Amino acid sequence: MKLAFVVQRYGEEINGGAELHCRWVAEHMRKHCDVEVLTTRAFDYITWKNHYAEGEDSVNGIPVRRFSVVRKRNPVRFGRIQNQILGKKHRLEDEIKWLEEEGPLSPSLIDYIRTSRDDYDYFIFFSYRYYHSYWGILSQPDKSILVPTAEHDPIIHLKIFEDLFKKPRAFVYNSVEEKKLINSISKNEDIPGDIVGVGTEIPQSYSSETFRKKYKVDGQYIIYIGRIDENKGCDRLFSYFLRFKLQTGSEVKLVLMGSSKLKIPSHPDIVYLGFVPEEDKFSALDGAQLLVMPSFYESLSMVILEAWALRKPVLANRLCAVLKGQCLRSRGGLFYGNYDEFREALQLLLSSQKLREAMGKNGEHYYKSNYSWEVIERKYLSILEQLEKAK
Amino acid sequence: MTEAKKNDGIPENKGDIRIDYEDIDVADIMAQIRKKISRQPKRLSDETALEELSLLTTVPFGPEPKEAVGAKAKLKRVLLRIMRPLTPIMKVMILPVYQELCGRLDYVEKKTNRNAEYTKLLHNLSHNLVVEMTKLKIELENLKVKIRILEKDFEFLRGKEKALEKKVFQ
Repeated sequence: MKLAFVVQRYGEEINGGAELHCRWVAEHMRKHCDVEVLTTRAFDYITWKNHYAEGEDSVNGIPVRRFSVVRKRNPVRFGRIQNQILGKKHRLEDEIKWLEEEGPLSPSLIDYIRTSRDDYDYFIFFSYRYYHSYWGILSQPDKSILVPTAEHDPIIHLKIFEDLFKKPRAFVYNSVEEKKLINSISKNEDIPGDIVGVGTEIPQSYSSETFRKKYKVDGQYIIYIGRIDENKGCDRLFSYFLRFKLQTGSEVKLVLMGSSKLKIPSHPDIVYLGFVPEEDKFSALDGAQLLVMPSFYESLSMVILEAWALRKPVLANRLCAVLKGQCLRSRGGLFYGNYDEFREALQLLLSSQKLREAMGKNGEHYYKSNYSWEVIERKYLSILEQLEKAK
Repeated sequence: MTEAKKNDGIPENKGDIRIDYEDIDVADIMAQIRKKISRQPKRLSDETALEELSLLTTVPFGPEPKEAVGAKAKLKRVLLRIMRPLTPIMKVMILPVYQELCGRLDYVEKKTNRNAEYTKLLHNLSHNLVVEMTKLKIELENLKVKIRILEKDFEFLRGKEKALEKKVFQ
């Protein structure tokens, strides 16, 4: 069986979101099928500027075909069009125009998918909201599998997506909440699919001591890993954390890792480390009391899975249905929706090592039984098998 | 009971929250946390404001101005020492001066006390103003967050409404 993984960007240097998700799944599915990746030449997700060479490439032994992006995204124009379609009455053509602006605009990639029907058994599309998924699925609906990586944002309610979600042969969802959301939009319960998600790659060696020495971090700390911006709820996290310290007199620190688009408060107990190597990230996680995840929009938080893989409990934002659902199902974390809940939940977790250990253990069990690579691979194979039988 | 000690499956009471470590129920813990919060007096935002204020307005205040009493006594002692050789005669002459000086000192003391009270009142006034402003700031932040959430819900409902309208008119 030959599978084509279709994704907006692809490369070893791209280490986040749906792109990393796609790369890991492709690399694991190589054991079972012939795998090829179809993608664009883009590296920058804001402008989609061509970066990689056109044509055939290989990433970690997987053949990759890269197609040019014919027009860079203009963030200002894109923002204006998005505001128009979200705020006002509009036509379907406006939504198509929005999709072109969203990009990455690569008609040659779609042409290739259209003309290579017989070369692949299935096309697995990642991220519903981009140009490649919409036109790619419409060109080969009966061979398409969609990994939507959908979040609860207003864009998902566009008419084009309501129609799109009725087209693919199967879905690979990240969470129960994502499935419910997509089913409620398109009433597509009849399309087969499973809640699969993604595993994680844990480095062979990591040590909290090495991390503490290297970054000069001492004492108890909680950690946030990811993009530091308002959409991720970081501004509220800072305010809650500072109030928590003021009220409780706790000496706990907040360690932040990831690129920052927000002004980080200058406080001796808020430690910003920027972007760090993968091994350091796991070392830091290993030494943390817990992982805090304040994000409002997540289709599946990979970093939460990483925390659970390392037996760390989490404290998540309950206003994100996916995070709340994951905490309830795994029994590996608490959640908050306002400052009072944040204070009480954090105080409870920090004060009880026994609770942290029990929740970490639950999280690890949940991770192993749902998100270990054996389970993920089995679920993908089962979906493919189901589709083959229905042929 | 130490944390490491096994609890044999009996739910442990962690402060006000009972936890069964063998079979953790996150929904139950969160319900207990919410119950605990609802039992607390509605004071947290105010308290935070006050705590923040306590950091902002830590102004050291000295002891009450009692120097006037001591000065009076000292002055009396000095004057009496000077007048000792002529005590019998001078006492009669000096005492009215002393009384006048005492009167003046009382006046200064009263004025100083009044100024101190006035300063205290001003301090309390500014303190209360800062408390109110901080409370308003916190309230504003809370409302901003609520508006953001409502906007998102509204967008979602708008989308849903559009989809439903389309279905109805189709």
